[in-house]
Amino acid sequence: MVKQRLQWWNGTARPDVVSLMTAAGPLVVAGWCFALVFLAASGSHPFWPRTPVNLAEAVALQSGWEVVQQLADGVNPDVPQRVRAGILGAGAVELSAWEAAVEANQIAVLELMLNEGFRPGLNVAPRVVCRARRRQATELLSILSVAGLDVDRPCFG
Amino acid sequence: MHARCGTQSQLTMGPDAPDQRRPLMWINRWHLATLVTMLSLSAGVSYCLVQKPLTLHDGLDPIVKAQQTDSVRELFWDQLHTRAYFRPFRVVQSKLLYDSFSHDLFGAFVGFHVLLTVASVLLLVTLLSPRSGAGFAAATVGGVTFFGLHTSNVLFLEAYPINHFLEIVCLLILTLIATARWRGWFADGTAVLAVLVALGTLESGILVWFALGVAWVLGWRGVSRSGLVTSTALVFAYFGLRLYLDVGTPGLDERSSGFGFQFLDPSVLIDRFEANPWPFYTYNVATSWLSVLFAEPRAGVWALSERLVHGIVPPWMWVNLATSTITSAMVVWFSIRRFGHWIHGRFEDADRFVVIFWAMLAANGTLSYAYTKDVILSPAGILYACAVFAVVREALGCVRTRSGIVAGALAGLCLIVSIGWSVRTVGLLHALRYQAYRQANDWAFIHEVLQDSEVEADPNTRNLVLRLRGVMIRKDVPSPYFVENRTLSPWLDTYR
Repeated sequence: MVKQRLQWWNGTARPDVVSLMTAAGPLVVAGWCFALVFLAASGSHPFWPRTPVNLAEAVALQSGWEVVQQLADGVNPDVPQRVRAGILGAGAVELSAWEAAVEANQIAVLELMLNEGFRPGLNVAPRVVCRARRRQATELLSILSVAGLDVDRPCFG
Repeated sequence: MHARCGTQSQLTMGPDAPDQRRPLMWINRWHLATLVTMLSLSAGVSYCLVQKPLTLHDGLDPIVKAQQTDSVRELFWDQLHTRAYFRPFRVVQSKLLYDSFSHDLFGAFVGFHVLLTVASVLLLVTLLSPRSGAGFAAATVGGVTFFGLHTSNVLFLEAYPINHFLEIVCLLILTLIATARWRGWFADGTAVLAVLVALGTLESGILVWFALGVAWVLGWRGVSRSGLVTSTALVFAYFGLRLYLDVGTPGLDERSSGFGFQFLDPSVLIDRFEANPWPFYTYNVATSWLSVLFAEPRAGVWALSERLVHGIVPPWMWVNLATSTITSAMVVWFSIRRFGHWIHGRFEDADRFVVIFWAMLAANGTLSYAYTKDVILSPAGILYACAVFAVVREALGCVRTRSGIVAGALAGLCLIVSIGWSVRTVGLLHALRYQAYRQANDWAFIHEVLQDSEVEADPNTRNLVLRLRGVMIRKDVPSPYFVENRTLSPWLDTYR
């Protein structure tokens, strides 16, 4: 085996072996590409995995397209949803989409939801405002204020 | 020292030497094997293209223009009177697709992108025409070089909605095939038509004519003298028309450009270089050349050097630098070996690939004087892939006929280059995934676009934009948060 390797190093091995080894990298990538397309044809997409997220998670991850998609599908942004562990800290939390935007400081997504014509409901608005004030998120507060929320109301607890 | 690796018979009609007498669709088992490999690669890229949304920024404008214009003719005349750029065929192509497939615009534009991707691969394999095991190996390395090169990435990452840079690449290879592999009226007609379409599509279209001229001088004369003269006449007509229409050239105020460690806005460029723009132009030309050869700088920005000075360099930057540098060193090695033959006007196919690459690098870099970015260099990039094919094949020939440390070193370099470019090709596929997410998000955050005067003023345009947005946000794209692989991702240039 060692002798064979030395022979190869000395250039006495069959040239086709070197050619084959040179082609190996591109062939592996080509094979992988072929497998991707073959699997896709059978409905499996390992390279294009779709991990379902709820609206609050989409907001926290700044997945604007998923936010628009879910709002268009009728998902209520006021309803608290479970945000899985690792997205907004080590543990899982239960938040509305508005609170998730404040918690993740997603200013652009908050504006996106407002631009889509949604406003925090009366039951969730105080929680959103107080969370923003606790986080001293002045930019978020000014956006919420422009959207018509009372950002000066006292927060308790 | 300057002799070829191989016997004299291999020199005159080597295993991959062209046979001008063969018919148009001549093929052999190595050619077929290369074709299957490359089509698999293009299938992987096409799969990602079909899954991802169209590009919003730069991509929406041609669609809106197509919608707002009544006829192709009107749009063509309108495009003749734009400032700095002369690209009458560019938006017209979008208009033709828009009018033909208005019920499924996404399908039309993505379908065309896939068509161009597959065509580029078919054309590349036809041009390289491998006819031996070594040729096959070299062609596959050339293929992954094409897909993995940073100048090619944007050819697949962006749909504007038609990627005209990819179109120019296809026309460039087609013209070279016409003069290298074909002959007669068909070769002439193909070359003239390719030059015409390229000139009317992008400024870099002139490089198609340039490549034809260089190839012809080097002895690829499938296109006749009259074909070459007609193409040259088209170029004169092109410049005459530009002068007549007072199109001008891009100025410093045209767009941001990389300089040093950062991108500079047009206002800053004007402040710094308005009095004397030549240092800036020289910088753009020089960095364009370096970028193709070393993958650094990128679009005029010395990103790796900056990271080296200020922080940690991500592994993918080292992969890019090492792969490009080793490959370029092999091209230089080949050029030095063969320079004596070139001086005496003796060229084989491999020589032509390499000489045309050097000429194209010089021309393409010079053409980037006003501003530089990766994709502008894609014509030099595709010929770099052709040069890689020639050089790797030569190196494999040396391994076969030589012994000792030289053969071992060349074999090792071939393997390193092959693995490096394969990794960079995987990087392209990952980049397509990231880009899909980014582009889907662009379509979500569209409110600024909707406030644009052209869109806001016309309800039909607004409806069109919202209809497109509805399609784009329904594309299921993977979130980087869930697909990020902490071990693999740092090694891949995802073009973020």
